[in-house]
Amino acid sequence: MGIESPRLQGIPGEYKWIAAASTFRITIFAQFRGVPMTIRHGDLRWFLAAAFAVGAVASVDATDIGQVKVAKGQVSIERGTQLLPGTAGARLQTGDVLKTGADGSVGLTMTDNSLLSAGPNSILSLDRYEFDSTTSQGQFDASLSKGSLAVISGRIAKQSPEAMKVRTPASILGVRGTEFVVSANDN
Amino acid sequence: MTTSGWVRFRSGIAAGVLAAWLGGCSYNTGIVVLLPEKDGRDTAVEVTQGDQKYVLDKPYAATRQWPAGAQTYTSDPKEVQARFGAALAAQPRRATSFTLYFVEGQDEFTVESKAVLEGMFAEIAKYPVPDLVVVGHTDTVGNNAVNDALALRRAETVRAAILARGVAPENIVAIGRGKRELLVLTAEGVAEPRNRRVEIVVR
Repeated sequence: MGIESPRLQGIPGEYKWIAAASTFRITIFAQFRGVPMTIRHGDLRWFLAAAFAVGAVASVDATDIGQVKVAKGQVSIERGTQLLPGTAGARLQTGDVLKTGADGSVGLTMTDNSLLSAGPNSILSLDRYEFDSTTSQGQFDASLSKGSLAVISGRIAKQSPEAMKVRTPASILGVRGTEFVVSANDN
Repeated sequence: MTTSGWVRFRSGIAAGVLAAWLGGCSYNTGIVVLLPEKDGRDTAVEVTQGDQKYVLDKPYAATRQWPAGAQTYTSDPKEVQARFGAALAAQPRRATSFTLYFVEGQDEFTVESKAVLEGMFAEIAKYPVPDLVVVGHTDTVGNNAVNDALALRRAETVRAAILARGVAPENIVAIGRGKRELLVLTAEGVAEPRNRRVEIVVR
């Protein structure tokens, strides 16, 4: 397949898909410009290859960053356009948005061992998460746009202060290896 | 305008003013409370709101954020329970780690570590959805290829023992790091029992 194209030789295995995908994207763009509104047989083959490659990239990126450990009442996970049930055992990905209902609460354990738990009527987004389990280096940005949140920070915050941030509509919290609670828009 | 119409109009104004007053005054945009650490470590949360910065570094140090600005105060367990009781009740169990030691050059537990196994299984059973990372290590006797393979065999031995206790296979990751991460730093070719280990994190 296109992944073995000579252009991609010398690129390390794990980046090959990404390189392939961007090559395909450029190809498709050019072809759309050249032949507007039509996809010829040859183009379709490219199109499918690109779609497949982009899918492969997405699944490489979609590594687990944590897991729902505790779920009570109504809990959901928004992942792009998908709405998933936030049941105990559900795996989390960067960009996931957790929502709890009036009777809901949810507890998450991240791969750096940090613990986040949200009370009822909460919206918690896992905006950014990078963690190297060998060096403990990483970056964790979460935001609470509504509700209440309890945090016990993990290896990321312990290794480098300021590497973990929690945002609320009113403030930014820099975490220096700690245990705290925060609420947003409470009345 | 009829009398009842005027009354309705007036109470309409009153409701509007009350809503504005509630919105402008008693509505706040959240609180942050630093909780006491179990092990008494020095910790802090830095709260930035607009161009103001507050450092919370004492147990129950808190900020309350109003639309007009923040106010620092000292919270207490009662307020924390009232506002965060549900969030704290949903807090998952903290991660625990275990270390098991191995016979030289083998993927066989030492006698002492066999005794630790049962305690570890009991601890794993306390996690509603256990998720384990098992990392095998070796001492510096032998080359990297030999030690990488041995480290992985040790990790797989532990994984198999945990699987036998009913933990789902997709929730246990076993990896080998060979002699790359020594617990006790030694020269090459040193048989150090404390380096022949598997570290297990349960979370």
